[in-house]
Amino acid sequence: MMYKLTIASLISNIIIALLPFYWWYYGTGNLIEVADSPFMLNIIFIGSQLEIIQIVNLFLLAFRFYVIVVSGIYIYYVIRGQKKTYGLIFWTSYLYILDPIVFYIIFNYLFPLIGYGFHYPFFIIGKEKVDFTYQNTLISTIVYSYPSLAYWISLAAGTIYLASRIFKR
Amino acid sequence: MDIAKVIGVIVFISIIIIEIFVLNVNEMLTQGIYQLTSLPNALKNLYFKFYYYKGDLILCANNQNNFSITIYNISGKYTYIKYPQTVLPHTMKNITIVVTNWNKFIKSYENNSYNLTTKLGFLGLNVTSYSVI
Repeated sequence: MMYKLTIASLISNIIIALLPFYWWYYGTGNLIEVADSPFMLNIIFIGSQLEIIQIVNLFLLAFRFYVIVVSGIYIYYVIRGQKKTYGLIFWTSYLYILDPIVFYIIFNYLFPLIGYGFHYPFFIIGKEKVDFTYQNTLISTIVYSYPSLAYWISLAAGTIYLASRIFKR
Repeated sequence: MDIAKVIGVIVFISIIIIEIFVLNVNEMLTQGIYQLTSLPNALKNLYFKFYYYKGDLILCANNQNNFSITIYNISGKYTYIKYPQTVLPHTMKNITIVVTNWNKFIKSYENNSYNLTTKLGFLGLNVTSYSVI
């Protein structure tokens, strides 16, 4: 069978889109906790889950089916001999590293522009102490950011796609 | 855009329509917005009232939040508290402030020039606040 890697990549797309798990967790613990993935989002503020996020999740759920349908139809094409690739899981899983970087830029560079002196260290995975000053007050807390097992599985699926493009199989 | 993506978009829209029929999206929206608007009230202030009682300076801390607040220290050049105190949710607590030099403290206070540093902790945050009383 031709294009084994491509078929494997498309099948793993479907598996990843079916996994009901979050990819990454951020937060300070008590004040705010965020768990997200390209297909699901949850924000808890002072112990209460934010309801409005459920509206976002309606779209993300429909997006899951979009990914499954496109991958499924592409599998049909590949089995018939025409190579079709779908790199969405590759792009989202590899670019998830950008999220902590975006937070770093927003907190460290943008917030100071509106008067909050943030000191947000650069980190992608782990726990770091974050300080910010506003007028006469200094607030410091510990922020955590770490991926879940599902993220690593998605990264593996994305790598299968990368391999299917590099080796053209 | 190829046929697979077109079909994908049709499925996407269909799922959204099904969700709108099956779930009460209106209620989700109103609940969600209501929750957002009531959030600022979730962080109510901690109210401080100072009393002079039997030669002691007493701080009455009134915590009207849903979470505990720990007062690590309220210090200044002539004042401090002996040990950190935790004020439970929706409770008030009287805390004795030790004054090392009453004369100098009163003079500064009457001049509105007494520097006070308040260190609090709540919800995993450590807050240090500088004020002049």
